Amino acid sequence: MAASLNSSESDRSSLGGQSASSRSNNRSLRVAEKERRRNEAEDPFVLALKYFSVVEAGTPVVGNDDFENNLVLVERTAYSQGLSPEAISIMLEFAMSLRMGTAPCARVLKCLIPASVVPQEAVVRAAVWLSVGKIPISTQVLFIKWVLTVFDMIDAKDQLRAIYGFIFSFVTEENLCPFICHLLYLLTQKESVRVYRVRKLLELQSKLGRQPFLLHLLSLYKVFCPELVTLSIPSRMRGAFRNHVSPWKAALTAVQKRNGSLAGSSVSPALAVRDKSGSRKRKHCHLQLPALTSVASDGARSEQTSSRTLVPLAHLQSFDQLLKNVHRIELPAQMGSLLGSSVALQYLDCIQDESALLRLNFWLGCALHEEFLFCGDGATQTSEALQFLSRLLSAQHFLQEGFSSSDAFLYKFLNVWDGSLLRPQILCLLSNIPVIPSSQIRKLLFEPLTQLFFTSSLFFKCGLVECLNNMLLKWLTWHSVYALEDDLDISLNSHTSLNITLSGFKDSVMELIHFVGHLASVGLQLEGCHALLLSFVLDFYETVCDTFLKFGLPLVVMPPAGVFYPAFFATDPVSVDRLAHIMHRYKVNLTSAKRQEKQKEQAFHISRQTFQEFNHCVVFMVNCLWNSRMFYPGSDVQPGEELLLGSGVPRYWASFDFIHHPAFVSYALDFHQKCWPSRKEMDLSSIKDSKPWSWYLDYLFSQGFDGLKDFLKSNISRQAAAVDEQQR
Amino acid sequence: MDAPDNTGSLNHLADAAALSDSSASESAASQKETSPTDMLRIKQQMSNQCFEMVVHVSAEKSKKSCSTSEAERDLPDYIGELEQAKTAHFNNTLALHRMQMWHSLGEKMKQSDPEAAALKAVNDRCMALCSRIKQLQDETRYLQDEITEIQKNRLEMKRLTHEKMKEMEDLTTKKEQTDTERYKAVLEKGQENLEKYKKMAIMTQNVLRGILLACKVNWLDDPKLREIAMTLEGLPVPD
Repeated sequence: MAASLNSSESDRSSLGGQSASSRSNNRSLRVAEKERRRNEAEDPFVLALKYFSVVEAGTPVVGNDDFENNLVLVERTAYSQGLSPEAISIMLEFAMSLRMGTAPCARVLKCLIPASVVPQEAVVRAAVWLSVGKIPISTQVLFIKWVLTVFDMIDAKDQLRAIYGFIFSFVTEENLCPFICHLLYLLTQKESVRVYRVRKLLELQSKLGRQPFLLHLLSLYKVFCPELVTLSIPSRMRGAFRNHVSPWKAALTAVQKRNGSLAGSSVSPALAVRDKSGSRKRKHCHLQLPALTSVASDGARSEQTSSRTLVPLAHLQSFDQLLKNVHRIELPAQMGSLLGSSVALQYLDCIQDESALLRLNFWLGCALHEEFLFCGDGATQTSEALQFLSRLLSAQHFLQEGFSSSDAFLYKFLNVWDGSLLRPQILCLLSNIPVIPSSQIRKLLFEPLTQLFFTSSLFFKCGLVECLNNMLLKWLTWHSVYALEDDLDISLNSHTSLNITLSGFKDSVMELIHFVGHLASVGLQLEGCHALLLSFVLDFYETVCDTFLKFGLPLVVMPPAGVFYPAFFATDPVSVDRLAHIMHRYKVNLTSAKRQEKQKEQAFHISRQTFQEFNHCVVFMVNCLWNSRMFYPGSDVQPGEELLLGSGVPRYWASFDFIHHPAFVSYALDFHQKCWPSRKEMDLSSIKDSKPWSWYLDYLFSQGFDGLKDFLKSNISRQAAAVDEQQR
Repeated sequence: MDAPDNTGSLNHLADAAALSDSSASESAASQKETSPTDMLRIKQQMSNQCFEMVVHVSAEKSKKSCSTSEAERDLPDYIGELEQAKTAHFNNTLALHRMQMWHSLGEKMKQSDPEAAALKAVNDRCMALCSRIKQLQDETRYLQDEITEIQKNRLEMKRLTHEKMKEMEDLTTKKEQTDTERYKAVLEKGQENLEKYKKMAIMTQNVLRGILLACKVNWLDDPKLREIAMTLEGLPVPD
């Protein structure tokens, strides 16, 4: 048939006077169009849909072969590619209108897997059918569960918000109540909070008890209109809306994977966070950050440009636009989408809308608890989780603070973590936790971390020490910015109004430092003073030694014996040099603190014990390195006389000075070689004479050991140096 | 406790009886006197001793219960002491071990046999690596300081932004207040009316919604009903 059409067309074209090429182009287009339409008309799936849209009410189900065949066809398409929006509208309308009785309704609902978007109109129609009231309760529950599952795929939400009241009326139905509350939570706006609705919820609460779903909805109402909800709601609620076992989830993910590219994504490129792999087809899955869309479909809003209406966040392309419209921005319905856009995060940070933060935290909590923990073990699942966590981390990094829901998740997760799943991301998330009051820090953080630390590999130990170092840095940075002179209270989080006093903050910091000191001591003993672990531990103490001068926190904590001595006896000069640098910085901090105390008479008083510890350390170092006097009375390191004598080392008291220290002996040998190349017999103690000694020290400093240089300069006064200078 | 009292009273009675008896027959009563009185006295002694023992036992019991809770309190201190001892022992061992090891290494390197030459080569390599590490560490330290500075500055900006936003809010509310003060009475009356009509509107909306729900009709199919039903949620005037 196509061929005959072709020939008749060609006859006509040969008779016509137009140019042959354009004619043939038009002809081929028309032909293609006609063929497509014919194919569609013959497509059995389309025919099946047609059947469902025109079947008359009252047609029997039992024994109806047409119905059975068509439904099987629809189901097959649904599970393989997903249903198009029109198909969803037709099938949903068919099911919810109960044209063929209640039996097919549940079956149809179960196979409604959308391929791309779900038209809002269809959902509204179905919700209205729900109120007509002949659908059995279990099917009603199924429908609401379906709406919740595909909520993010509904293309606009304004009509759903318009029928908020109708949806609310279902809350009295006991079986539907939890799911309706969840749906209402997702749709609520400030205008939806009315006195009679609050009253209704409180009535339900007295009937059903303090159910979590009621409490969540009431807490959202409270955020919007605190004067209407006088009920006290615990700030940390356990368990989000209980995630219903969703029969569609598995099928949905399978369909989406098969389809690959995400159709109809409305994220404009300017808004997306710098995504290096932007051209890669993104897999739309439940751990994916939802796309930033506006509440109403784009068509409706584009006409209204008057100054009264709100500008949806999705329409802003740049930071300038944000600044111009900052007072009339409309937040999207899905708060989780804010995490993907830097402009949106900036806005959220400035405005600090409590309801938005509440909903964002709620979504994040759900995503982390349900999706992340139960996302399965496949490689694709882990890569999805990895991407999600990376996005979350970049959002937190941008805001320079964490989210309360991710903190709560971490406290729970640490108890069940094995230490290796997504380790870098989890440790980064951990370092973003704000200051924890010292009464809770032990239980929440230290106990699970201790367990993990002592049963893990060397690399985990290093990673954890680094993470705690970052945490300390962030706490100190926060303190140095937010603790002003007059205020004794430091706010913990820019979102909440929780405050902590300066002394409480100091307690927490001290607990953290002591904890890391303890971990480091035992860790070094377990790992035999491994150089890598030692390096991370010294990193930590480099942060600690400067808390006063760099960050303005009046606190000085010395390293414990389990860290100091292994660092001093280290076999690589880099560690010893760093230790010297740290000691030098401690001295600078302590002297400056003492001076300030005398001048300003502030309430900063360093305890005597700190000074004693410091002196003890410095005396030990100088005695060993400079005076060649190890094992003096009062030193911490004192093996028995017999052991020392039996060790076979002559002059054991000089075995850790600058010449014989394991870290420096090769430099000494090298120096000796260079200084006295003619000598056959190496006599290292000849370096101890005053001139070669200063040359030797200069030689050491020339190798880059600034820490040693600073340490010696600040702790050793040399009359010999003065003599040397005169001689020169 | 009652026993000694009883024996006490018995004692008195016995004494009284003895006294009364003694006047009657001294010689014969002397033997009789010793046995019951003695027995009573012994009995009292024994009951005293029993009482003391009971007290002792109960005291020791309470002492024991004291010590378990005390032990629990002292546990962290003991653990700390244990760890200190372990650390000291570890440090001593480390010092001895390193001392011996590097003494022999040093002695070896002073010689000039091929093993020493190999050791020296390794040493030279280590020294070169150490200088390189030192360089990199200095760079890292410098960069880390810069990063910390930048983070501090950003955080400072954030704090200032929040302060400014708060100031702006305060200013706008103040401005609103000053404007309203002039027309206070009129505004209040207007506000009252508005509230009244809003309440009426909300109530009407509620009633209409109730009617629609009770009738159990599909209002979407009728265009007029649909138009009405879709406006039952919002108010034209913002709250």
